[in-house]
Amino acid sequence: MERLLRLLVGFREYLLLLAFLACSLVLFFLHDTSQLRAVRGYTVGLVGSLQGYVTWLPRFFGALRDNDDLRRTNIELADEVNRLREARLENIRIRRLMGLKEGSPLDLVSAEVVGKDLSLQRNTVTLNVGQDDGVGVDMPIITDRGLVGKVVLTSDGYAVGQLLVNRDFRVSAQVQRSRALGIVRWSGSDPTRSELTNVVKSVDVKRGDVVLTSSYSPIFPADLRIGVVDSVQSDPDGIFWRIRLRNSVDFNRLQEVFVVRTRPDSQRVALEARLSATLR
Amino acid sequence: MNPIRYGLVLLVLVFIQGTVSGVLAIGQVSPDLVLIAVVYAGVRLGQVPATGVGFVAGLLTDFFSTLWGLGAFSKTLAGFISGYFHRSRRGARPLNAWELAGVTFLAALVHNLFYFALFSAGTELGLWTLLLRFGLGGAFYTAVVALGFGFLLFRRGAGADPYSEADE
Repeated sequence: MERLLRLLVGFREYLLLLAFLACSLVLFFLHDTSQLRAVRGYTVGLVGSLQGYVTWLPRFFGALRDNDDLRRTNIELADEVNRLREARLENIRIRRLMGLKEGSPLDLVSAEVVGKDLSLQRNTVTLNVGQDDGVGVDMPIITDRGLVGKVVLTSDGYAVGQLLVNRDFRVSAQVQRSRALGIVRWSGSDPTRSELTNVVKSVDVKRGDVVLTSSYSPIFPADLRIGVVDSVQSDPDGIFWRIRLRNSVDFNRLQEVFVVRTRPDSQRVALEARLSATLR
Repeated sequence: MNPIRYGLVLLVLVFIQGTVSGVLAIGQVSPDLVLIAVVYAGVRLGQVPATGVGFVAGLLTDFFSTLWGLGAFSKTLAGFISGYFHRSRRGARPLNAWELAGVTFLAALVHNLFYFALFSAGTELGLWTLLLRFGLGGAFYTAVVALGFGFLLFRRGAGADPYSEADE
């Protein structure tokens, strides 16, 4: 207390000055004049601008905090947007597949591609369906775009499919417009292109013709889309056209497929096997 | 000089200031006689008494004004500033007439700055015109009068300290 008093006495000039100035201002403010209103306005402005200078620091730290929050939110939203985009694309694909399934007389089982190898000459896919789903060897694999390949190996829960873009794959095909018959196979270079072979030059084939599976195949149902004729060249030394197809299915983007649960006609297969043996 | 004499002198000066100072006006600029008394109190008595004298003198001048508190505010400041030049702060040597005029000029300048800043607030009056003409001009004129007052003090004291406590 004594120290406080000593302190007050030490600053008595300033305290007195403040007291008298305060009294003067009180007197001044007791009257409502234009000067007073202006002074009040200036005071409010001054205090406001001082607050503006003083409050930048907490606002700065607040902004840093907000920035962190916004970044986190941005990452979360970007992730959500990606997932939604993915879901939308998946939805589109599934709708197309569902449309195929509902409109098709075939017995289809949907499958997801869980493994894919497109870097080899003998390209394959692994599907998440197997014998437990009624899937067996030689069953065709298709999408809404067309023929994908056939099942070559199965386990209880998985199946391995041989793709159209596999050097060992062959399928009997026909040109939709002219009904010209041939065999489709992959040349082994470009996964977007195949070849239609064994089409004699006497048959009319044009660029843009659609090529489908023929009814001659014991494995594949007829009229599955394979591709579109991209180029037709005449082989000067042979009797066949050299026809290149643009595949209907994009094998690089293959995600959902259907397996057609059909078994080859055993009688037909046996008969054709007998014929082959006889000719040999 | 006792407080009653101070009070009486202040009253007379305030009356003169409020009534007949216009006679001394040059181009509407008048000397502030009350302010000279406040400055004199400051250099003679020190900051604490001069601050009080300034406040009281300002209140008295406010009787002649519509803006209550304005004179008290500015003269309190003037008293405080002039009290800073009390000899207790400067050593034993008293101020001469020129120094008294200088302190008066400084105190009047601060006084006028606050006075006219508050006076012109919210009006059509130009602050800078007021400050240059009445603020600076008034401070100079007041300092000149204070110089004359200082010379009178020294002549009367004939070399003695015109601010001496023995005078009281």
